[in-house]
Amino acid sequence: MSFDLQLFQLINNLAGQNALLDGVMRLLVNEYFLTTIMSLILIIYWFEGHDRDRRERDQRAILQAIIALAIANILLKLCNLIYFRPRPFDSHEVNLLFYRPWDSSFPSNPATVSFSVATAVWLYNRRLGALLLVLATLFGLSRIYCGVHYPSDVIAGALLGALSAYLVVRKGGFVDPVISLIIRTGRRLYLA
Amino acid sequence: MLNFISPHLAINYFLLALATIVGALQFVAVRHRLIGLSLFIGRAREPIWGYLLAGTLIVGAFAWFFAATPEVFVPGLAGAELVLLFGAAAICALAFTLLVSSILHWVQHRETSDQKTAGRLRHEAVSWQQLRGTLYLPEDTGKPRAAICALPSPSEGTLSLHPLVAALIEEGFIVLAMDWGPQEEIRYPAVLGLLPSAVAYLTRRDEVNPERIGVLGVDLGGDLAIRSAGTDEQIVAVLALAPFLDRANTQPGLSILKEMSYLEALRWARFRERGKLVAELAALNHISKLDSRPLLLVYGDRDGIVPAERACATLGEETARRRLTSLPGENHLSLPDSPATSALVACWFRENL
Repeated sequence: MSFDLQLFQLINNLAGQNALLDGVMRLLVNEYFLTTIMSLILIIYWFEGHDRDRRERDQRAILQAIIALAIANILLKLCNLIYFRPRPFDSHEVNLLFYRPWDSSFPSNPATVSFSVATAVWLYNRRLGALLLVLATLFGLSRIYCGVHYPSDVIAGALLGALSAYLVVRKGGFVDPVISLIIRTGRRLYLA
Repeated sequence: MLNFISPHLAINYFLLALATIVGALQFVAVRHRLIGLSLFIGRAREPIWGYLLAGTLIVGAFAWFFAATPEVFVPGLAGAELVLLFGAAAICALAFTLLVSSILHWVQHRETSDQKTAGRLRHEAVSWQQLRGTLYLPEDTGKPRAAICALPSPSEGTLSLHPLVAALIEEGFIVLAMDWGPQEEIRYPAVLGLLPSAVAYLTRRDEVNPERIGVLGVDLGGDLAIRSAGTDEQIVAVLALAPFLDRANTQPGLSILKEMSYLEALRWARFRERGKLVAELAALNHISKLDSRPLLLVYGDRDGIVPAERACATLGEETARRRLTSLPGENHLSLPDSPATSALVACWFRENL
């Protein structure tokens, strides 16, 4: 048995043993809760800076996070075109606490999306980035706990998301004019 | 192609996003004192109420969503649909918050404006050559008095100077509150004629001691006061309340919502000449021309348009005759109304004029 499967079973076997933990994981695993929380954090972060320069830096981080998310999604679709991995419940007996997604298990879509955003913010703001990384990790962990992803799916998704964020933030000079235009327009509208 | 699968789920998610974003905006409004985003007015604007509203909206919306939407645990919205719904909700929530906040702010502002007209001072209208304004006179003692030319912000009328005028009259000063005229007619270099004509008018009056004329300017009026005093030796003391000093300060961005509602901010932006005038008046370059004449710059420490620390950095080193003071708890628009400002202005002119 592979290490990936062993780790999956170690985590997934916790499901069904504690009703409270199951409830928390069912709250975290769906597409609506953590994604909305992370988006709300970004909205608050948009307004956070106390002066214009600080605010511009924060807003640049948010816009780069959004671009990183878009790029991560494109890379994810490309991966899905090349390689299809069945879900854990397709080939093993699992404790399934969620519905049965039909798309490829590898890489994890929620992990890709959440880690792309969290990493982009982390590259600008360590504290807030760390909070978002914790939320992204919980998102990935809940997917394993609830039986819809292998650990390797989540790790690959996290790496893919982090890579997209790194490329946009550190090597993405080509997006700077667009970002500057958005911030300038926002400032003219008194929204940035 | 977008596929919302369940209209019920899509609508509920949109409502969840809408309510939570309004909640997040209330959190921001309280945390950064952005009155342009606040859905509270008056006493209810205290932080605790704002945080309570924000928390209730966010937690309540999630509780409602998960209770009322069984489709959450069956295949539902994919990423693209979620992004679209969240984006639409964000736009709606922002528009709702800005609009309702503007209406609430307008209601409150109307009440305070009514109160402002209540106090009346002894005055006479002035219309002399290009000069328009109001001359406020203290009780007549028979001897010439010091006089102050007061320039309000072009966005506000001379009425906005009332608290300051009242304090100065009480100190025995004669005050000429000047009118900029219609905003669309405020142009450089025509504005440079405003203060010299006011000084010329005052020196012709028997009640005025022509050797004791000072100038007080608010906002852009402060920039003009400094510029005019730099070239007019007859002005012996200059006090500027929240002058811009730098063109960059006329583009405050989001911080303007600390001062006014969003609709007011859009109206404020309609005076397009502001930035150009600040650059052309170049008040900062004329400070050195005041020589030994005293200058005081006053800012509120919560100024959302020209932050005091930025003004301080722009001004550079202070001297005994060139000082900058920041008043705690005041912002750009509240500064002329504040009793602390009135007391400071009256005291400073008493000592320097």
